[in-house]
Amino acid sequence: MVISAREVDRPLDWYNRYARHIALDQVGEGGQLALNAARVLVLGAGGLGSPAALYLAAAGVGTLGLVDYDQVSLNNLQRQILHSTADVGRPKVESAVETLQGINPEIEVVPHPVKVGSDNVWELLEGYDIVVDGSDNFATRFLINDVCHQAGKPLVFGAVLQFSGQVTTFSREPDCCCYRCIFPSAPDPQYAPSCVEAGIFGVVTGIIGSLQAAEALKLILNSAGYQVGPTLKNRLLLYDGIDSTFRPVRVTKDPDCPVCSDPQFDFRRVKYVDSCAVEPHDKSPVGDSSTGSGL
Amino acid sequence: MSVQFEFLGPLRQVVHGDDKVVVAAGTIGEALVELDGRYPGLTGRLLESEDTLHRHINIYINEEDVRFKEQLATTVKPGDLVTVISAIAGG
Repeated sequence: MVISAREVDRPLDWYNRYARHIALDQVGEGGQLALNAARVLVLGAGGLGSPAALYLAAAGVGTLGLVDYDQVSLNNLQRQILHSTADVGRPKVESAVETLQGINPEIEVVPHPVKVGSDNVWELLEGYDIVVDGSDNFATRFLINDVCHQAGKPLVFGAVLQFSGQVTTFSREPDCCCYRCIFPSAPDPQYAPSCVEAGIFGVVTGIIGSLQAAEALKLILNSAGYQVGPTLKNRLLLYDGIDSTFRPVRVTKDPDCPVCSDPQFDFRRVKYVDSCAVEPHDKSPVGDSSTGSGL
Repeated sequence: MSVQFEFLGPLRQVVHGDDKVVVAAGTIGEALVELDGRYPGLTGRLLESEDTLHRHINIYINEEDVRFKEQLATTVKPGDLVTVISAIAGG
Protein backbone atom coordinates (compact mmCIF):
# COMPACT_ATOMS: atom_id res chain seq x y z
CA MET A 1 0.00 0.00 0.00
CA VAL A 2 1.42 3.38 -0.98
CA ILE A 3 1.15 5.84 1.89
CA SER A 4 -0.37 9.14 0.84
CA ALA A 5 2.00 12.03 1.30
CA ARG A 6 -0.82 14.48 1.82
CA GLU A 7 -2.66 12.91 4.74
CA VAL A 8 -0.85 14.72 7.51
CA ASP A 9 0.87 18.02 8.02
CA ARG A 10 4.53 17.72 8.69
CA PRO A 11 6.88 20.31 10.13
CA LEU A 12 9.35 22.08 7.91
CA ASP A 13 12.19 20.28 9.72
CA TRP A 14 10.83 16.97 8.46
CA TYR A 15 11.11 18.14 4.85
CA ASN A 16 14.53 19.57 5.54
CA ARG A 17 15.92 16.47 7.30
CA TYR A 18 14.77 14.09 4.60
CA ALA A 19 15.08 16.45 1.61
CA ARG A 20 17.59 14.24 -0.25
CA HIS A 21 15.32 11.21 0.10
CA ILE A 22 12.25 13.17 -0.88
CA ALA A 23 14.07 14.38 -3.98
CA LEU A 24 14.43 10.82 -5.21
CA ASP A 25 11.68 9.72 -7.61
CA GLN A 26 11.76 6.23 -6.07
CA VAL A 27 11.24 7.52 -2.52
CA GLY A 28 9.53 10.90 -2.35
CA GLU A 29 7.40 12.02 0.59
CA GLY A 30 5.39 8.82 0.64
CA GLY A 31 8.45 6.61 0.70
CA GLN A 32 9.92 8.65 3.51
CA LEU A 33 6.71 8.20 5.47
CA ALA A 34 7.00 4.45 4.93
CA LEU A 35 10.51 4.56 6.39
CA ASN A 36 9.23 6.59 9.34
CA ALA A 37 6.58 3.94 9.99
CA ALA A 38 8.99 0.99 9.79
CA ARG A 39 10.28 -1.09 12.71
CA VAL A 40 13.70 -2.71 12.29
CA LEU A 41 15.61 -4.84 14.79
CA VAL A 42 19.41 -4.77 14.58
CA LEU A 43 21.12 -7.71 16.27
CA GLY A 44 24.45 -6.59 17.61
CA ALA A 45 25.72 -3.06 18.19
CA GLY A 46 29.18 -4.01 16.98
CA GLY A 47 31.07 -3.94 13.69
CA LEU A 48 28.10 -4.59 11.40
CA GLY A 49 25.39 -3.24 13.67
CA SER A 50 27.14 0.13 13.97
CA PRO A 51 27.01 1.26 10.34
CA ALA A 52 23.69 -0.49 9.76
CA ALA A 53 22.03 1.25 12.70
CA LEU A 54 23.62 4.61 11.89
CA TYR A 55 22.25 4.60 8.35
CA LEU A 56 18.85 3.29 9.37
CA ALA A 57 18.55 6.00 12.04
CA ALA A 58 19.70 8.72 9.67
CA ALA A 59 17.22 7.46 7.07
CA GLY A 60 14.41 7.92 9.57
CA VAL A 61 13.41 4.33 10.28
CA GLY A 62 10.77 5.09 12.90
CA THR A 63 11.55 2.37 15.42
CA LEU A 64 15.00 0.91 15.68
CA GLY A 65 15.62 -1.93 18.13
CA LEU A 66 19.17 -2.75 19.17
CA VAL A 67 20.13 -6.04 20.79
CA ASP A 68 23.46 -6.40 22.57
CA TYR A 69 24.41 -7.48 26.07
CA ASP A 70 28.08 -6.53 25.82
CA GLN A 71 30.08 -3.53 27.06
CA VAL A 72 32.25 -1.28 24.91
CA SER A 73 35.94 -2.28 24.90
CA LEU A 74 38.88 -0.26 23.64
CA ASN A 75 39.59 -2.89 20.98
CA ASN A 76 36.04 -2.45 19.60
CA LEU A 77 36.69 1.13 18.53
CA GLN A 78 38.75 0.22 15.44
CA ARG A 79 35.45 -0.59 13.67
CA GLN A 80 32.43 -0.19 15.97
CA ILE A 81 31.67 3.40 15.04
CA LEU A 82 28.59 3.77 17.21
CA HIS A 83 30.89 4.09 20.22
CA SER A 84 33.64 6.46 21.27
CA THR A 85 36.60 6.32 23.63
CA ALA A 86 34.55 7.86 26.43
CA ASP A 87 32.10 4.94 26.14
CA VAL A 88 34.61 2.24 27.07
CA GLY A 89 33.07 0.14 29.83
CA ARG A 90 29.51 1.27 29.15
CA PRO A 91 26.81 -1.06 27.85
CA LYS A 92 26.89 -0.96 24.06
CA VAL A 93 23.16 -0.40 23.74
CA GLU A 94 23.38 2.61 26.05
CA SER A 95 26.18 4.19 24.04
CA ALA A 96 24.42 3.30 20.77
CA VAL A 97 21.11 4.85 21.80
CA GLU A 98 22.86 8.13 22.61
CA THR A 99 24.71 8.21 19.31
CA LEU A 100 21.65 7.32 17.25
CA GLN A 101 19.34 9.77 19.01
CA GLY A 102 21.97 12.44 18.48
CA ILE A 103 21.78 11.81 14.75
CA ASN A 104 18.01 11.56 14.65
CA PRO A 105 15.96 12.50 17.71
CA GLU A 106 12.77 12.02 15.67
CA ILE A 107 12.96 8.22 15.81
CA GLU A 108 12.52 5.78 18.67
CA VAL A 109 15.58 3.70 19.54
CA VAL A 110 14.78 0.72 21.75
CA PRO A 111 17.67 -0.90 23.67
CA HIS A 112 17.53 -4.64 24.33
CA PRO A 113 20.51 -5.40 26.63
CA VAL A 114 19.98 -9.14 26.54
CA LYS A 115 21.68 -12.29 25.34
CA VAL A 116 19.73 -13.78 22.45
CA GLY A 117 18.68 -17.38 22.91
CA SER A 118 15.92 -19.77 22.00
CA ASP A 119 14.09 -18.75 25.15
CA ASN A 120 13.71 -15.05 24.33
CA VAL A 121 14.19 -14.65 20.58
CA TRP A 122 10.54 -15.00 19.58
CA GLU A 123 9.46 -12.20 21.92
CA LEU A 124 12.40 -10.03 20.83
CA LEU A 125 11.43 -10.21 17.18
CA GLU A 126 7.72 -9.82 17.78
CA GLY A 127 7.46 -6.05 17.48
CA TYR A 128 9.60 -5.66 14.37
CA ASP A 129 9.04 -5.88 10.62
CA ILE A 130 12.62 -6.63 9.53
CA VAL A 131 15.70 -8.11 11.23
CA VAL A 132 19.29 -7.09 10.44
CA ASP A 133 21.77 -9.71 11.62
CA GLY A 134 25.04 -8.31 12.90
CA SER A 135 25.73 -11.12 15.36
CA ASP A 136 29.11 -12.76 15.66
CA ASN A 137 28.71 -16.52 15.90
CA PHE A 138 27.16 -19.37 14.00
CA ALA A 139 24.78 -20.47 16.74
CA THR A 140 23.05 -17.09 16.80
CA ARG A 141 23.05 -16.82 13.01
CA PHE A 142 21.33 -20.20 12.58
CA LEU A 143 18.89 -19.39 15.37
CA ILE A 144 17.96 -16.03 13.83
CA ASN A 145 17.61 -17.54 10.37
CA ASP A 146 15.34 -20.29 11.64
CA VAL A 147 13.18 -18.05 13.80
CA CYS A 148 12.83 -15.36 11.13
CA HIS A 149 11.70 -18.02 8.68
CA GLN A 150 9.20 -19.40 11.17
CA ALA A 151 7.92 -15.93 12.04
CA GLY A 152 7.84 -14.80 8.41
CA LYS A 153 10.21 -11.88 9.07
CA PRO A 154 12.58 -10.69 6.33
CA LEU A 155 16.20 -11.07 7.41
CA VAL A 156 19.18 -9.12 6.13
CA PHE A 157 22.29 -11.25 6.59
CA GLY A 158 25.84 -9.93 6.76
CA ALA A 159 29.06 -11.54 7.95
CA VAL A 160 32.73 -10.59 7.91
CA LEU A 161 36.14 -12.09 8.60
CA GLN A 162 39.60 -10.69 7.95
CA PHE A 163 39.28 -8.86 4.58
CA SER A 164 36.11 -10.55 3.37
CA GLY A 165 32.41 -10.03 3.70
CA GLN A 166 29.12 -11.65 2.68
CA VAL A 167 25.70 -10.06 2.45
CA THR A 168 22.26 -11.16 1.26
CA THR A 169 18.57 -10.78 2.00
CA PHE A 170 16.14 -13.52 2.92
CA SER A 171 12.82 -11.98 1.93
CA ARG A 172 10.50 -14.80 3.05
CA GLU A 173 8.85 -14.95 -0.35
CA PRO A 174 8.13 -18.60 -1.15
CA ASP A 175 10.88 -18.83 -3.77
CA CYS A 176 13.54 -17.26 -1.54
CA CYS A 177 16.27 -19.37 -0.03
CA CYS A 178 17.27 -19.16 3.63
CA TYR A 179 20.71 -19.20 5.26
CA ARG A 180 20.57 -22.99 5.67
CA CYS A 181 20.00 -23.38 1.92
CA ILE A 182 23.39 -21.72 1.42
CA PHE A 183 25.25 -23.21 4.37
CA PRO A 184 23.39 -26.19 5.87
CA SER A 185 25.46 -26.29 9.04
CA ALA A 186 28.29 -24.52 10.81
CA PRO A 187 31.93 -25.50 10.33
CA ASP A 188 33.79 -27.38 13.00
CA PRO A 189 35.45 -24.95 15.41
CA GLN A 190 38.92 -25.49 13.92
CA TYR A 191 37.60 -24.18 10.59
CA ALA A 192 35.68 -21.28 12.08
CA PRO A 193 38.02 -18.73 13.59
CA SER A 194 36.39 -15.69 15.10
CA CYS A 195 37.45 -12.12 14.33
CA VAL A 196 39.17 -12.15 17.73
CA GLU A 197 41.42 -14.97 16.53
CA ALA A 198 41.66 -14.22 12.81
CA GLY A 199 41.35 -10.43 12.79
CA ILE A 200 39.12 -8.08 10.85
CA PHE A 201 40.04 -5.19 8.57
CA GLY A 202 37.79 -2.66 10.31
CA VAL A 203 36.39 -0.92 7.28
CA VAL A 204 35.04 -4.22 5.90
CA THR A 205 32.39 -4.10 8.63
CA GLY A 206 31.47 -0.61 7.43
CA ILE A 207 31.07 -1.79 3.84
CA ILE A 208 28.97 -4.84 4.69
CA GLY A 209 26.95 -3.13 7.44
CA SER A 210 26.11 -0.26 5.10
CA LEU A 211 24.95 -2.71 2.46
CA GLN A 212 22.75 -4.36 5.09
CA ALA A 213 21.17 -0.97 5.84
CA ALA A 214 20.58 -0.43 2.11
CA GLU A 215 18.87 -3.81 1.86
CA ALA A 216 16.63 -3.09 4.85
CA LEU A 217 15.61 0.28 3.42
CA LYS A 218 14.84 -1.29 0.05
CA LEU A 219 12.74 -3.99 1.71
CA ILE A 220 10.71 -1.29 3.47
CA LEU A 221 10.26 0.85 0.39
CA ASN A 222 9.50 -2.02 -1.95
CA SER A 223 6.92 -3.49 0.40
CA ALA A 224 5.23 -0.09 0.69
CA GLY A 225 4.93 0.14 -3.09
CA TYR A 226 7.96 2.31 -3.81
CA GLN A 227 10.01 0.27 -6.26
CA VAL A 228 13.68 0.96 -5.70
CA GLY A 229 14.89 -2.16 -7.46
CA PRO A 230 15.55 -5.75 -6.46
CA THR A 231 17.18 -6.65 -3.19
CA LEU A 232 19.88 -9.31 -2.89
CA LYS A 233 17.18 -11.99 -2.59
CA ASN A 234 18.66 -15.25 -3.93
CA ARG A 235 22.01 -13.58 -4.53
CA LEU A 236 24.93 -13.71 -2.12
CA LEU A 237 27.23 -10.73 -2.59
CA LEU A 238 30.84 -11.53 -1.77
CA TYR A 239 33.28 -8.74 -0.98
CA ASP A 240 37.03 -9.22 -1.08
CA GLY A 241 38.89 -6.37 0.53
CA ILE A 242 42.28 -7.54 -0.72
CA ASP A 243 41.34 -7.42 -4.40
CA SER A 244 38.72 -4.68 -3.84
CA THR A 245 36.14 -6.75 -5.70
CA PHE A 246 32.46 -7.53 -5.31
CA ARG A 247 31.16 -10.79 -6.75
CA PRO A 248 27.52 -11.88 -6.68
CA VAL A 249 26.76 -15.58 -6.77
CA ARG A 250 23.36 -17.17 -7.26
CA VAL A 251 21.93 -18.87 -4.20
CA THR A 252 19.01 -21.19 -4.53
CA LYS A 253 16.20 -22.46 -2.36
CA ASP A 254 17.11 -26.02 -1.41
CA PRO A 255 14.08 -28.28 -1.86
CA ASP A 256 15.53 -30.46 0.93
CA CYS A 257 16.23 -27.57 3.33
CA PRO A 258 15.25 -28.74 6.82
CA VAL A 259 13.96 -25.26 7.67
CA CYS A 260 12.37 -23.41 4.77
CA SER A 261 11.23 -26.51 2.88
CA ASP A 262 9.74 -28.23 5.92
CA PRO A 263 6.34 -26.91 6.99
CA GLN A 264 6.72 -28.85 10.27
CA PHE A 265 9.95 -27.09 11.23
CA ASP A 266 10.03 -25.62 14.75
CA PHE A 267 13.13 -23.83 16.02
CA ARG A 268 12.27 -24.87 19.59
CA ARG A 269 13.36 -28.41 18.72
CA VAL A 270 16.86 -27.44 17.60
CA LYS A 271 19.96 -27.21 19.77
CA TYR A 272 21.77 -24.05 18.73
CA VAL A 273 25.26 -25.13 19.68
CA ASP A 274 28.21 -26.49 17.70
CA SER A 275 27.08 -27.53 14.22
CA CYS A 276 23.51 -26.25 14.66
CA ALA A 277 22.38 -29.07 12.40
CA VAL A 278 18.68 -29.75 12.22
CA GLU A 279 17.78 -33.36 12.82
CA PRO A 280 14.52 -34.29 11.13
CA HIS A 281 11.77 -33.49 13.62
CA ASP A 282 14.33 -33.41 16.41
CA LYS A 283 12.65 -33.60 19.79
CA SER A 284 15.74 -32.57 21.73
CA PRO A 285 15.40 -29.86 24.37
CA VAL A 286 16.01 -26.24 23.62
CA GLY A 287 19.65 -25.23 23.70
CA ASP A 288 21.41 -22.02 24.51
CA SER A 289 22.97 -19.61 22.08
CA SER A 290 25.46 -16.90 22.54
CA THR A 291 24.81 -13.50 21.18
CA GLY A 292 25.50 -10.30 20.07
CA SER A 293 28.15 -8.33 18.61
CA GLY A 294 31.29 -8.96 20.39
CA LEU A 295 32.82 -7.99 17.14
CA MET B 1 41.38 -27.43 -20.38
CA SER B 2 42.23 -24.60 -18.05
CA VAL B 3 39.90 -22.97 -15.59
CA GLN B 4 40.56 -20.27 -13.07
CA PHE B 5 39.92 -20.76 -9.35
CA GLU B 6 39.66 -18.08 -6.71
CA PHE B 7 39.58 -18.83 -3.00
CA LEU B 8 37.91 -16.02 -1.07
CA GLY B 9 38.07 -14.97 2.54
CA PRO B 10 39.81 -17.25 5.00
CA LEU B 11 40.25 -19.92 2.31
CA ARG B 12 42.79 -17.75 0.52
CA GLN B 13 45.41 -19.00 2.95
CA VAL B 14 44.83 -22.53 1.64
CA VAL B 15 46.36 -21.43 -1.68
CA HIS B 16 49.10 -19.49 0.09
CA GLY B 17 47.46 -16.12 -0.58
CA ASP B 18 47.32 -16.49 -4.37
CA ASP B 19 44.45 -14.45 -5.80
CA LYS B 20 43.80 -16.63 -8.85
CA VAL B 21 44.89 -20.20 -9.51
CA VAL B 22 44.74 -21.78 -12.96
CA VAL B 23 44.27 -25.52 -13.24
CA ALA B 24 43.70 -27.98 -16.08
CA ALA B 25 40.82 -30.34 -15.29
CA GLY B 26 37.53 -31.62 -16.61
CA THR B 27 35.56 -31.59 -13.39
CA ILE B 28 35.62 -29.79 -10.06
CA GLY B 29 36.77 -32.98 -8.33
CA GLU B 30 39.68 -33.45 -10.73
CA ALA B 31 40.67 -29.82 -10.27
CA LEU B 32 40.71 -30.15 -6.48
CA VAL B 33 42.92 -33.24 -6.66
CA GLU B 34 45.30 -31.38 -8.97
CA LEU B 35 45.31 -28.36 -6.67
CA ASP B 36 45.97 -30.55 -3.62
CA GLY B 37 49.24 -31.56 -5.27
CA ARG B 38 50.25 -27.93 -5.40
CA TYR B 39 48.76 -26.94 -2.05
CA PRO B 40 48.93 -29.96 0.23
CA GLY B 41 46.00 -30.15 2.62
CA LEU B 42 43.59 -28.31 0.30
CA THR B 43 41.18 -31.19 -0.15
CA GLY B 44 41.21 -31.93 3.56
CA ARG B 45 40.07 -28.39 4.18
CA LEU B 46 37.29 -28.52 1.60
CA LEU B 47 36.04 -32.10 1.54
CA GLU B 48 34.11 -34.08 4.11
CA SER B 49 34.75 -37.28 2.22
CA GLU B 50 36.27 -38.21 -1.12
CA ASP B 51 33.24 -37.04 -3.05
CA THR B 52 31.46 -34.65 -0.69
CA LEU B 53 32.12 -31.04 0.18
CA HIS B 54 32.01 -29.88 3.79
CA ARG B 55 28.59 -28.34 4.39
CA HIS B 56 30.11 -24.97 5.21
CA ILE B 57 32.04 -24.84 1.92
CA ASN B 58 30.45 -23.72 -1.34
CA ILE B 59 31.91 -23.85 -4.83
CA TYR B 60 30.40 -21.74 -7.59
CA ILE B 61 31.14 -22.16 -11.29
CA ASN B 62 30.65 -18.63 -12.51
CA GLU B 63 27.55 -17.93 -10.40
CA GLU B 64 26.18 -21.47 -10.03
CA ASP B 65 26.51 -23.56 -6.86
CA VAL B 66 27.86 -27.04 -7.70
CA ARG B 67 25.84 -28.47 -4.80
CA PHE B 68 22.76 -28.02 -7.00
CA LYS B 69 24.51 -29.49 -10.05
CA GLU B 70 26.65 -32.63 -10.06
CA GLN B 71 28.69 -31.65 -7.00
CA LEU B 72 32.33 -32.65 -7.49
CA ALA B 73 31.47 -34.35 -10.78
CA THR B 74 30.29 -31.04 -12.24
CA THR B 75 32.19 -30.36 -15.44
CA VAL B 76 34.15 -27.20 -16.07
CA LYS B 77 35.02 -25.60 -19.37
CA PRO B 78 37.72 -23.17 -20.46
CA GLY B 79 36.99 -19.65 -19.33
CA ASP B 80 34.98 -20.70 -16.29
CA LEU B 81 35.69 -18.87 -13.07
CA VAL B 82 35.37 -21.12 -10.04
CA THR B 83 34.81 -19.35 -6.71
CA VAL B 84 35.32 -21.19 -3.44
CA ILE B 85 33.95 -19.73 -0.21
CA SER B 86 33.44 -20.74 3.37
CA ALA B 87 30.70 -19.77 5.79
CA ILE B 88 31.89 -16.95 8.05
CA ALA B 89 30.16 -15.57 11.09
CA GLY B 90 32.01 -12.46 12.21
CA GLY B 91 30.00 -9.36 12.90
